Amino acid sequence: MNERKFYDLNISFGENNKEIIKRAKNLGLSGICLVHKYSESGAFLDYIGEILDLRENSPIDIVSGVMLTGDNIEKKAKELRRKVELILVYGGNYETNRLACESDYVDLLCHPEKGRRDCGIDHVCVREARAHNTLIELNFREILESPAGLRIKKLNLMKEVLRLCLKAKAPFIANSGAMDVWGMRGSRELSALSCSLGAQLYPALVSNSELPERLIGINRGKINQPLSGVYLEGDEL
Amino acid sequence: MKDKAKTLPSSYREKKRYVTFEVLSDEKVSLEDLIKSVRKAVLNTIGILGMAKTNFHIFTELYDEKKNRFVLRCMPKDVENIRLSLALVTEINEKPACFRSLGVSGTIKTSKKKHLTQETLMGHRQKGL
Repeated sequence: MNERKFYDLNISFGENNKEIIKRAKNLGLSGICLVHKYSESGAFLDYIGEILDLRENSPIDIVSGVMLTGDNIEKKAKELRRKVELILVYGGNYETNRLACESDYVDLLCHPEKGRRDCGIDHVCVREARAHNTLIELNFREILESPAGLRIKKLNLMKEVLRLCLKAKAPFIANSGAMDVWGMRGSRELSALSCSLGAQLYPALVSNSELPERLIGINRGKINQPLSGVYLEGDEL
Repeated sequence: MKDKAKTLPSSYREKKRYVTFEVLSDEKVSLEDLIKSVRKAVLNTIGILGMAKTNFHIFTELYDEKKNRFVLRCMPKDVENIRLSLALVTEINEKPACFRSLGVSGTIKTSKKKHLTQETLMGHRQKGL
């Protein structure tokens, strides 16, 4: 029987990347996405170079990803689509959340409920997310770093996000959002978050394994395309 | 007649699950600190009533000092909640640490066989556990 491959798609790219990879292996993850906060092209090129270096000797799959914030998200995403494997959007603002859900270029909407009193998405967003295959993230760090009283509020908002996703059958994923090794969590712990908030065990496991695996496969195919819509012979469509 | 109830038949007994966890920490963690932080985390997440209902128990005698592994008991429906509550732990005795679940089993025997080291098992056998 094939073992499930678990992914964590939101870990900050920093100085201790080798330690992070070692810990991810120890925690039973098959792949991680080291996310770069997009600012300027120079730093971005360094990031891509370092990801390629890390990938060579890594025991797990290393995925490149860029976190977009601020204005012109659609434009930036279009530019970066064929340079990185994942495009993440820093959520929290309703307009940004909606834009991320409606965009074909965006793969993941991170913490849509961040800094809000409501969950940050509505039925329109989740329907669009389903149509455009944008994953909606449940960020573990949001819970981990909030104090006890606020933790209840955060969990409540995440429960609402998950409820909407399940209702509209929109894809969701639980990520650690770790900044260092101590923020990282195992594959089953991340699935346990979605499971405890109301998802069934099987969808919770699939959302952290097969779903990201398929998404990464599709995006890698896009990067290898000579032109948009043109496939090399032998490549899967 | 002895003042002792008979052992319940298996179909009458409550179903249990034994979850094995590993502590990931740079420094050695004492069993006392470990129990304290685990109880606090579970209590904070599922509450007193939840803890009582889930038949929660930490097996101190099964603590594997070498590999920092321990076994706890809960009800099948609460396994994921227990996993989540331990995932929310960030430090033990003011030192950074986190927990990783290794697996779930239906009997102590299986959890011992699967996740604990041979040396620990030998120690348990000598103590008659």
